[in-house]
Amino acid sequence: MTIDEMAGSVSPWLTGQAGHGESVISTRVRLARNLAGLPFCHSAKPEDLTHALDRIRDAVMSTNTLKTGTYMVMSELSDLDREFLVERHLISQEQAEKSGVRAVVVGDNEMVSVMINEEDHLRLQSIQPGFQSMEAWRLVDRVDSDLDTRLEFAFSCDWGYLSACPTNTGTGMRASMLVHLPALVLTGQVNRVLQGISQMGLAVRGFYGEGSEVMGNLFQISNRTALGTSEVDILQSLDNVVRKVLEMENQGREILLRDARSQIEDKIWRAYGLLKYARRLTSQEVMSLSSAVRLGKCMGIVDRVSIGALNRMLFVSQPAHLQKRLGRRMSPGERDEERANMVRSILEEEESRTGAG
Amino acid sequence: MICDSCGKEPATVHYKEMRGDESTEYHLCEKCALEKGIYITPDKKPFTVSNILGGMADEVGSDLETCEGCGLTYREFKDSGRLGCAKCYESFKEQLRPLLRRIHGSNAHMGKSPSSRQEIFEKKKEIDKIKEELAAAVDREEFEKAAELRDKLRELECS
Repeated sequence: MTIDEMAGSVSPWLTGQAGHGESVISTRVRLARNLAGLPFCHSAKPEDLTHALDRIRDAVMSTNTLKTGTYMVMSELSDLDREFLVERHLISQEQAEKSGVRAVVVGDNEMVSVMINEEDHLRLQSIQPGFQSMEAWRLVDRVDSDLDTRLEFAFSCDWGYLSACPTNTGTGMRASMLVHLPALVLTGQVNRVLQGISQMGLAVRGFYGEGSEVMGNLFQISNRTALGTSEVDILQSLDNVVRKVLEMENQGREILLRDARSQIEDKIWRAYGLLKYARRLTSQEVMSLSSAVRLGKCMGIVDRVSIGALNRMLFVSQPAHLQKRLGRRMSPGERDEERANMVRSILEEEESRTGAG
Repeated sequence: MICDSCGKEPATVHYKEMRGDESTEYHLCEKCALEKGIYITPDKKPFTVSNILGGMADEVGSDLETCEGCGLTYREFKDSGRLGCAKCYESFKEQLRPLLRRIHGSNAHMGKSPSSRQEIFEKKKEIDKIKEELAAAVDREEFEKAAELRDKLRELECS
């Protein structure tokens, strides 16, 4: 699938139909691996990197999962295409911005991909819709085992898979869930809950991962340590913590309905009205307004729009997605206009589907 | 207040180090703090994981120790937070052991292993487990059990 084909479609993991899909947008599991006998990427010579790239590409493109995948070399892509892949959660900001011999292989349904020569020689990832850490792990584990028969990874019996950054050494795994916690934010409990999460040894980040800010009440909860625990144990503790957080979020929603029903309904319908009738919308606005509508959907206040449509709105209104769709660079002002058109057409479609409006 | 380290310059960097339940406070001048990798000038370097890592790195052995695989010095690792190659883990083993423990709360890999290393890795895990049981048995003065475990250990280590 080419980038242009991707731009015309929606990531399959945005359906919103998986377990807890209304509050957990997606689950991601990634593994860091390095080739034995070659320096790590940042200290490797260009010829080492080219050598690593060739070996990894051949191995990846012969795995069952990725043999029909799309191989893309970063230096051959336009800036816009690289931004698009970042928004799509298929490559990291670092992979998009830094020079060097870098590439990515994206599987047919975008649920499995491999970054080549990022911080580590390989970064395998699987993204699944909703609350599905075990499924994401199963897929990425399968690719890893398949690659293991074709490549020799740097590994020590004491410390596991060796990584350029010691924080990843061990399983090389980071598992994260993107969760929507509006009621905890509205009731002012979110900081306390997030502190609790970090005391449990997990980390919380914003929408685009490390170093990014929180937008649209979306939080990324992930494991912080990779050594001393098995993959499945790490996933189980993530599952447990997220389940607990969702329970608290639901309690928060009940409190809001009980004590402030009319204020909440007002907030939600105002947000809906803005999304539906505004003629210019920034990405920040779409993030926070669609968060309110999503809350309305979960509380049974709004039923004319599906979770899948709200997920879609969140992704297609990102800057590079908009520009890819129209096939050209646009100024921020133009984008805001186009974004409002896009959002409006999604809502109109949903209204005619559900017979509302 | 005067710098703890050089005893000359005024201390402007105040730093608290936690090790387990113990905490030690340091009061350093900017120059000494920079040398120890504790202080990061705000306008020169962003406050990143690497900087924190560098600051956490232990003062075991010399900073100028070099990895025979890639030529990286331990000092360079402290600055960047990135190791140069897999051999670095051997070359800086003594420094990395406490560092990894502090990051992960553990020193022993328990997860997946490559198929080629599976047998060795499983055996090592088994040996580690018996060693632990053996120590516990000795603590509890269960000598018969301890002798049994010791024999099992010998057998495993010889095979």
